[in-house]
Amino acid sequence: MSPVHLKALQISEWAYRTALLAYPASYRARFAPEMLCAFRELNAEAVGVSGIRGGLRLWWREATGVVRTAVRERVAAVGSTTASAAERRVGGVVRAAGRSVWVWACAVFVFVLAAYVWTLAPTVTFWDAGEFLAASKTLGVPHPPGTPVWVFVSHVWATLVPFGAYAFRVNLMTAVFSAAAAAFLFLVVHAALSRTDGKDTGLWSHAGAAAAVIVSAFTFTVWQNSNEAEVYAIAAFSIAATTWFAMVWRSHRGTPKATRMLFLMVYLGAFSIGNHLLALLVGPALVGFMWHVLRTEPLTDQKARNKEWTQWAVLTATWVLLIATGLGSPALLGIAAVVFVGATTVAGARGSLRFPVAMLAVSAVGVSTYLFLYIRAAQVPFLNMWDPSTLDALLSVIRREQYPPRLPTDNPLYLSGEGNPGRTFGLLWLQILNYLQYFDWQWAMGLKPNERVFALGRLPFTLVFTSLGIYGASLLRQRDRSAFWLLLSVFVVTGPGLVGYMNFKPGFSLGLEQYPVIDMHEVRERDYFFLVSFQVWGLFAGVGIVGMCRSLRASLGQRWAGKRWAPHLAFPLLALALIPPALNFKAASRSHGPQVQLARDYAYDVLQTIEPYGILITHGDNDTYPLWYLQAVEGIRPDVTVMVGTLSRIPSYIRHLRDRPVQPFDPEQAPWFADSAPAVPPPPVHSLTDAEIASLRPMALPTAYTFRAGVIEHTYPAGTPLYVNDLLLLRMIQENVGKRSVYFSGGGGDEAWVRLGDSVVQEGLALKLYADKHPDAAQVVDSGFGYKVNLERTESLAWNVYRYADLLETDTPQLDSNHRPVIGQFAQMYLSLAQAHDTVGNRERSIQNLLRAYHFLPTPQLRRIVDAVAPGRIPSDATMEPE
Amino acid sequence: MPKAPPTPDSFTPLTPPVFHILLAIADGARHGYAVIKEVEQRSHGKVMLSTGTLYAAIKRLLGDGLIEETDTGKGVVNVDARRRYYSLTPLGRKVARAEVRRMVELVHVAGEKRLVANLALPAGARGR
Repeated sequence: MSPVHLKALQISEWAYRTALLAYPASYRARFAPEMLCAFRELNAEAVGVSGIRGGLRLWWREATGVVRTAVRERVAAVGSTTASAAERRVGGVVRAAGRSVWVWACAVFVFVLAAYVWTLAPTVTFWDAGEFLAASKTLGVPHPPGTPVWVFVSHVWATLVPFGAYAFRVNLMTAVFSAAAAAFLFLVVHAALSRTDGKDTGLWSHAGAAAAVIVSAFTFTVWQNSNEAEVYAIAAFSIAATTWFAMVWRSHRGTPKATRMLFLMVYLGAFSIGNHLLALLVGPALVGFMWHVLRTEPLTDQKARNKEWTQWAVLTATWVLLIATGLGSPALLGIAAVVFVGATTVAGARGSLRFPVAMLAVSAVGVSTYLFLYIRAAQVPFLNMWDPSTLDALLSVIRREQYPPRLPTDNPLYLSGEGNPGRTFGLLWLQILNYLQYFDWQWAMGLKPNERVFALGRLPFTLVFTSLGIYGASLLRQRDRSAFWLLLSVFVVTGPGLVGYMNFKPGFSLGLEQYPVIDMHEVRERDYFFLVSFQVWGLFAGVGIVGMCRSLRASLGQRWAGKRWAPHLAFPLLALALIPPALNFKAASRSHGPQVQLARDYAYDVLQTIEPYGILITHGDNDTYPLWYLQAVEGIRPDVTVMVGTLSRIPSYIRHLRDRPVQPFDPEQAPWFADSAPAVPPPPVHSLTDAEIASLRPMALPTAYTFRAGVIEHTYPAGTPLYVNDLLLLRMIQENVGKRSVYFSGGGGDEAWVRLGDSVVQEGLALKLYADKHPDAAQVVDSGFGYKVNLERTESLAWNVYRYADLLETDTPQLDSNHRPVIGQFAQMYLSLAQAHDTVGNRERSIQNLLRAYHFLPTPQLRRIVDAVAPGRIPSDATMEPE
Repeated sequence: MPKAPPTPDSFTPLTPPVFHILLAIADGARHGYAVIKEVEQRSHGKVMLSTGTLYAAIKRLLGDGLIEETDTGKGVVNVDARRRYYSLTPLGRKVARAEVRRMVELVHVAGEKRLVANLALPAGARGR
């Protein structure tokens, strides 16, 4: 044989040996030496007889054989929860899961995903979704902590998925992750219920797990967070996957696979920090679970036991490190480091130093996703919140220093620090009530979607599912105590534990009489924070349903002994699991109802109000994020500078406003502005230098100051407070006279308009500041809201340009609190028009606008006005909202 | 109630690779390479098992109790300790027979439909 042939033999044998790694370890241990032996002989024969060509032919056959069978073996290896000798050693009675459990898990995934897709938002939704979508599309940096994993993964996902609009694709990603979480939870519950030697275990564990997951996946908050672009469902996926990996660890103790599971869990935890810290909350449950397993099911071999306890200590220390990193807390980081060094020392003494070192390395790789922010921020993406392009800024983003700190001991209504009166029992009670309020939403929200505070109609279902949950948890405790503690710990930490830690202000819709000022409440409902706890309680309730079914089956079998049909009468009880999907659908769906396109259409309306290259001052959140989405993702009116008033105090944001490239105006997108658009885009929105920006400070004017910009002349008396955003705004108004129009987003008030209310005129959904000239007196009319309205332009925008989702096709829109402020703005605009038309004597148009206002906001108060002005125009049986 | 032991018929029909493997070791224990060569020769090169396919099948057959690991064949010296020899279990032999019976029945059906007359058996197979 020639040297070339010998070399070929060596290379192909090395390649074959490498290819064998595709098989599971247990398979390799049993068959790899034989396979290699057979291959070596076949190879020598093939090359010897037919040369390189013969070797290649053999390789083709072998490669296809290895790929085909290795995949099959891998699937079978993961599916088996019983094969390991370790299980027999620890004495756990575990039934063979077999392949059927994987078929069931896949069926659960498909079923849940189908429901999520059916209710999937087709476009942007309110709150953070618009910001996330814009960040995803442009690989930008959203609000702290920046969620680099979410941004990157969603960008890749949306690039690879070949169908649907961008927003739909990203929304779909959430649905897929959430459905995968359901599949993992199915496996967890199945594994727990399988640890029994009773009869009909297969049916019990399969049906129990399926019912548990159906209840869990369709609790209101889980469902509503699974059909839009958000991070919470993906954090829940990490938690569900980790709990399943913990179960796999338990069933493979004493084998290399168990150690690999520990690495996998830690990596997933570290990686998930880049999505949301919520995922780390599985840590305490994981540590407790492992501790319980090690205590109650010790391995027989002392050396193996020592190794497991060492691994447990290292994993615990690593998890504390991860939490400290996620919170960016130096104090906690110090404690974590001490704990880790201690665990490493123990590991070293027991000869396992490689384990903690590898654990640390795996964690570092997982956490390294944060470097994405550091790298990307330097490239000035469309969104670059707090510009983490320096290490200090990056740390500040990770630590969320931009948000006012709040300790669990603080009174959340006041700033943290000296002078904070401290948390009171009254507030704590309100926080607990708030959690119970959200818990009440989970089982039948669709019955009373707009009655947010303990609706009587939901109460029976809440009581039933609370009881089922308690019963199911007790059953789980009997079957598998370690798994029970695992899930109960997850529930406690992500539910009541979070209530204690987050220390929220009174809920958005709760305690309104006790705390009447809106600023005393959270800006929105916060049920999504507790999503995982509801998910887990759903699991308990589902197990409870099947437990009841099982008991009834046994009773019926005894009562009608010999009647084969009798036990089957219990099965209809399983239909209880379908209550949450059926009764939450109406409230959780984002693809049904007239408001589906509302966030997008609202953003479209506002952007189309602004003249080319105009500046729009917004408040943040819902009047901002959908606009960012429309500009960054759909490319609509990117020429408009959306300036968030609340962010304009931050130097990095002020620099970003200046450095953001001016995007050209496309006349085809807004032909009504085509004639007024300048030929060449104007310069950046302001010319403040970095040094000037850094020197901006809030002040109380020492003396009276007269501000002049174009035709505006306004004197601020001495003592007037001017914040950094006010100073920036005044500078921008001055610099842009004759270059850009400045608009304010709807609402606000004189303070938001830097007290220039006399110069603002309503134009559609925005208020335009007239700086370069006075408004045409023939066009502006008193609106009845304290400012004037440009009648002609607003009438044209409202009736010819604006889109209202499908709200006009609905008799009376009954929308939730997320959508009501927007329809309130629509109503206000039409009321302005009605008043203005009335002032100029156009009674019929006034009535038409009044009717449109009533359509959006059918309150008794408006009804009385309409009935007085135009009797009989509203049917007497029309639905009305409360006063 | 305890499950009844599987009948030989419950394993049929066998996949071609599995049937070939059972045939290859029907007359004595063989190791993996020998099985591959035996199958190749008996099928006149039409069935070429890869090692991946062979050992995946062996794993299944061991699990089902159709074959067992055994000593080397009579008078054979194992030159490589990594080699393992496999032979049919009584159940495996019954399953192979059941498969042959199934095939013969099929051939009879085909004969009744006048599909057999034109079939030419390979030269080496005649008279066996």
